[in-house]
Amino acid sequence: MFLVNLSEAIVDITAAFRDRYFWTALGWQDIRTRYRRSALGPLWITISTAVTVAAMGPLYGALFARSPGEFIPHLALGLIFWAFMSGSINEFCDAFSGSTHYLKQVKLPLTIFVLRVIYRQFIILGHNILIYPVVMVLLGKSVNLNIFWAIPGLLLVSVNLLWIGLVVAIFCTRYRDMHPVVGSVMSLMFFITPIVWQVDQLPPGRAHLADLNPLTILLELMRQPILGGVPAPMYWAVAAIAAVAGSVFAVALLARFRHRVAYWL
Amino acid sequence: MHIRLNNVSVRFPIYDAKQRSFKQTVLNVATGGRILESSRGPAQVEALKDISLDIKEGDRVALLGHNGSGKTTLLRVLAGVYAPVQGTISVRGKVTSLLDSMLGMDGDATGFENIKLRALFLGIKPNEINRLVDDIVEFSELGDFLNLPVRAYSSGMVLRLAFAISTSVRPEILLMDEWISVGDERFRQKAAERLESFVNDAGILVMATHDMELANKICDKVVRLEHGRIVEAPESIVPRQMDAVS
Repeated sequence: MFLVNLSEAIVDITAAFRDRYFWTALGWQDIRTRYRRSALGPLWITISTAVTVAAMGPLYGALFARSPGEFIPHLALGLIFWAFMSGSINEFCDAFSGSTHYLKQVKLPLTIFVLRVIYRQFIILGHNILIYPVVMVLLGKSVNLNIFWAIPGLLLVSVNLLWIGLVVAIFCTRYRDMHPVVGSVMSLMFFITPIVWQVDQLPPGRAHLADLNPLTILLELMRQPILGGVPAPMYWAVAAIAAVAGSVFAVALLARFRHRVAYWL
Repeated sequence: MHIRLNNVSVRFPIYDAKQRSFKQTVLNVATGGRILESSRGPAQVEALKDISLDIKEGDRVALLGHNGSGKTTLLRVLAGVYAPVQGTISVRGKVTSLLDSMLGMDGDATGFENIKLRALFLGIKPNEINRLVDDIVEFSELGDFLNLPVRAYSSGMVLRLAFAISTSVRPEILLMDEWISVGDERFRQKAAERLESFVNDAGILVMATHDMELANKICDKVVRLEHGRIVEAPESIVPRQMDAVS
C-alpha cells in the first residue's frame, strides 16, 4: 500500500513539472491580481525594497561603522534574497488552503500549488533584483565572472524551497495553528540570519554559529556570487545534502498524507 | 470508459467538534450522514458508507437524496478529490467536474483572462484554448465586455460566461452538481439546447439533483442516497450488496 502511495506521490511531483503551464499561469495571474488596480503595478515591489535599502543602508552602515561601498550591496542583496525565501515559506502555509475551491472540485497534483508559490516569489525576485544594478552604479561596484555561480545557487535554493514547501503546506493544512508559528519563526530568523549584520562582526570564536543556520547557507549561495565571491564548498555540500534528504522526507510525507489533504481543507 | 466503486466509505474528521453531548444530540437527526462516536481522535462524520457502483459508458445516472445525503461527496469521490477511506475506486476516462460552475472565476481579471484561467482547471492546455475562445465569445454574447474585469458584469453576465466556458469542452465523464440554470428568458432556450448536446456528448453523466422530473428526463438510471448509503438503485449499476441496505 505504501508503495502505491509512494509512486502516486512521485507522479504528483513529476506531473506538476510536466504541466508547467499550469503553475506559471497561476503564478502570473496572482501577480496581476495583486497589482491590478495600482498605477505602477508590480513596480511597487521594486520601489518598496528600494526605499528599505535606501533607508537602512546609510543608517546601519553608520551604526556598524562600515563603508557604504561594502555594506549597502551586502544589505541590498540580503534583503532581496531574504524576501524570496521568507516570502515563499510564509506563503506555503496557504498553498493548499488558499486553493480550497479548486482542490475540492478537481483532482490536481498538489505540487502545482507549491510551485505556484515559488514561481510567484521568483517573479517578485525578478522585480527586486532590478535594484542591484542601480546600487552598483551609485556605489561604483562591479561584478566578476563568479556571478554565474548564482545560477546553481538559485537552483539549489529552489529545490530546497520545494521540499520545504510541500512539508509546510501539508502541516499548515492539517494544523491551522502552524501558520502564525511559521510567521513568527520567519521574523525571528530575519534577525539571526546575516542579512543586515555581517558574519565577521561576530567574535572569532562565535562566527561558526552563523553557519548553523541553514538559511544563512541558502542566502550566501545566492548572495556571495553576485558580490564577487564563491560560496565555500561546505555550503554547497550542506545545501545539496539538505535538498536530497529533505526531498526524501517530503516525498514520504506526500505519500502518507496526499489523500488526506482534501479532507482537511 | 467506466466508473467502478467497491464498498467505498468516506468519513470526515471534524477537528473542531469538541462537545460530546452535542454529538449525541445530532446522532439521529434526519439530515446528514451519521456522526460516529469514537473514544479517541476527532469526531467523524460518515458521509458515505459501502457504496458500490458499476457505471458503464453511455450511462446517465441521477443521484437523488435530500440535503446532506452524500450526493456532492459522492461526486467528489468520483472526481478523485476525496480518496475513499475504505474500499476501492477505479475511474477510466477524462473527468470533467462541474460541481461549482463558478470555479476559478477571478473578479478582478478580465473576461478573456478568466476564460484562460478556468480552462486550466477544465484540463485544457493553453495552446488549445485559442480554438475555444471564439466559440465562448460567440456563445456568451458578451462582446467587448470580455475586455472588462468580471466584477463589472451583472450576475447574469457572469453566469453566461461561466456557462459558456464550462460547456465548451467535450466531456468524457461529466459530473454535475445540480442542473446549471442560466437566467434571462431569451438566453435560457439557447443554454438549454447547448447543455443538452453537451450532456449527450458525454460518455458518462452523473448528476446530483433534487428534481425528480429532471432526473427522469435527462437520466436513465436513478440512484437514491440516504445517510450516505444507496437505498435505491437499478440492478445494472449496483450489482450486489443491496442487502447492505436496512
